[in-house]
Amino acid sequence: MAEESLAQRLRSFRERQGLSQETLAKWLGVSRSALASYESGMRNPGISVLENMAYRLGCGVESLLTSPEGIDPTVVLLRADPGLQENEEAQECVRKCVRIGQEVSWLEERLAVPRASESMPSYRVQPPSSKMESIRQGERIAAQERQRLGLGYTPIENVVNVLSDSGVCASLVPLSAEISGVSIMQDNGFYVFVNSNHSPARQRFSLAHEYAHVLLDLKHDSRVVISQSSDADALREVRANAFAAAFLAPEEGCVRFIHACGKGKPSRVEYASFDEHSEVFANERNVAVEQSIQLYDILLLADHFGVSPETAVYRLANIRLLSEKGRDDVLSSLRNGGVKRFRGVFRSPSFCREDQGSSFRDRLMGLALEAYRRGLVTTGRVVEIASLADIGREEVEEAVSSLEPIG
Amino acid sequence: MVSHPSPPTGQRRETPLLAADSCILINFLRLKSFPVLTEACAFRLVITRSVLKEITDPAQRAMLDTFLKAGALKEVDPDSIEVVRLHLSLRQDGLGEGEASSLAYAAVEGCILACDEKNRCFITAAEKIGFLDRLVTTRDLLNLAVIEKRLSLEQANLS
Repeated sequence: MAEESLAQRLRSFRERQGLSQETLAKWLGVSRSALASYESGMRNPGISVLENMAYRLGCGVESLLTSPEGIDPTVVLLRADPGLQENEEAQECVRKCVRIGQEVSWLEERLAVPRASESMPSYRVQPPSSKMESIRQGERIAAQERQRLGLGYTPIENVVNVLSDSGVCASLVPLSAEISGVSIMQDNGFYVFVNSNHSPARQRFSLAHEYAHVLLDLKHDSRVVISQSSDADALREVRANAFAAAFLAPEEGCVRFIHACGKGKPSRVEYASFDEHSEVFANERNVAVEQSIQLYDILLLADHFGVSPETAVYRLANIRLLSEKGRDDVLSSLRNGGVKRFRGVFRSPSFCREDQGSSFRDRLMGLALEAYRRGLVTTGRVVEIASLADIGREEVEEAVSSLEPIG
Repeated sequence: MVSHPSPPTGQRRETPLLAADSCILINFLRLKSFPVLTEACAFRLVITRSVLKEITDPAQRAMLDTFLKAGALKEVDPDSIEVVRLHLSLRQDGLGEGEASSLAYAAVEGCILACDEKNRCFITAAEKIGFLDRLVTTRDLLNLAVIEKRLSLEQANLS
């Protein structure tokens, strides 16, 4: 490869990402004139600069030297949320997440193990033509996806881990208030970033919402979806919201929960017993006022499934456990500070901490240790991989020392 | 162990010695016997910037910076296309950034490489580029220092 060609590639790669020399130079910790000299071919960047450049641009070093394709998730986020320009911590969070995804993908290939993202189902649905259709599609796909994942009707303890098990690398990043999440498809997998500034319940909802985009909207011709409040009426956003609500709080689970509270039954039910000859009828009458769902029922349901009280209200209304009047009454209580009055008597749910999700990182480390055992990576490479998961050298050395490499 | 003619005490060998990864440096830094590596073996010690990046412990890094400032070792950031290409190939073979940059630089520049990594991955990579006979370990360096009487047996055992 001619040295001019490296220079040209560096320049075209930077320009394709829409980055100025000043910005990239700042990211790399080099002067703008040094970067200009790399791009003009007057000097070659050293290995450490190239490695840093690849990390900062979310690609492999080989991409910088061959034919770089694709988009850098960090740059996508910066375009979507200019507020991130000055937030180095958030950028680092994204870069780490992208590198983890790349390393997982590389290790899966090296170990010849099935890639988790390859098991991602392909739900073939027509683009919805109305809000009603969007909601129906979202709820139907959510039920199918819960069934596929074997989740039954139980609460999802950690959404990050569910996404990770499907091969989606998810991370919480401090985004601007109007952006709830971003989904990105790269050649090596899917990435989901959710706003860490939002409440824990909203983070969970956003993770499930972005999962809908991954399942239904990310395609080769549409590799990025940005979820922001200004697009709330867009049909695919409505569909993703319906998916999220039904994925987190499944209909069967909600019905069982409300019935267990002694609520949700119709005011009059007729039963019949038939012996192949004659029938016997029995009636059950439920006092309507006893059946009415109260704010504390909503709070318990919301805590049970790890959703906000508002999501729980709309979910119950959608599955006809709350009438329109009941829905409006509870929403009114919520808006008038009703939650505070009950918070003292209920414990906050413990599973609403999505930043504790470690499934993808654990998979990364499991693959790295297996690759070491099979003699496919060195200790140095395992240490490098572990640093992405904030695991120190000493922990790695201890783990590696207990392994007996093959050969 | 690579055999190189012993220089007179106080002088350095011509062939530079590269520390392949942070492991070997950390071993000596932990034991606070870094001068053993730089002085007793009489090699011109070189490290790549990628290896330097791997020293993240602040106390160890400060110690290393002192040695760098004193000229006891030299830092390089290889930029020739030949080294970069080899580095990339070694990365794909499963080496860490520090190891790959050091092995690539040492292979192209004709240095000796100090490395304690015994994993098949590293040995295969070194063998593939015909570098096995230029690898030395911590133990080799200490043995050499003892043989050349630059280090006593007691000092070596303490290291």
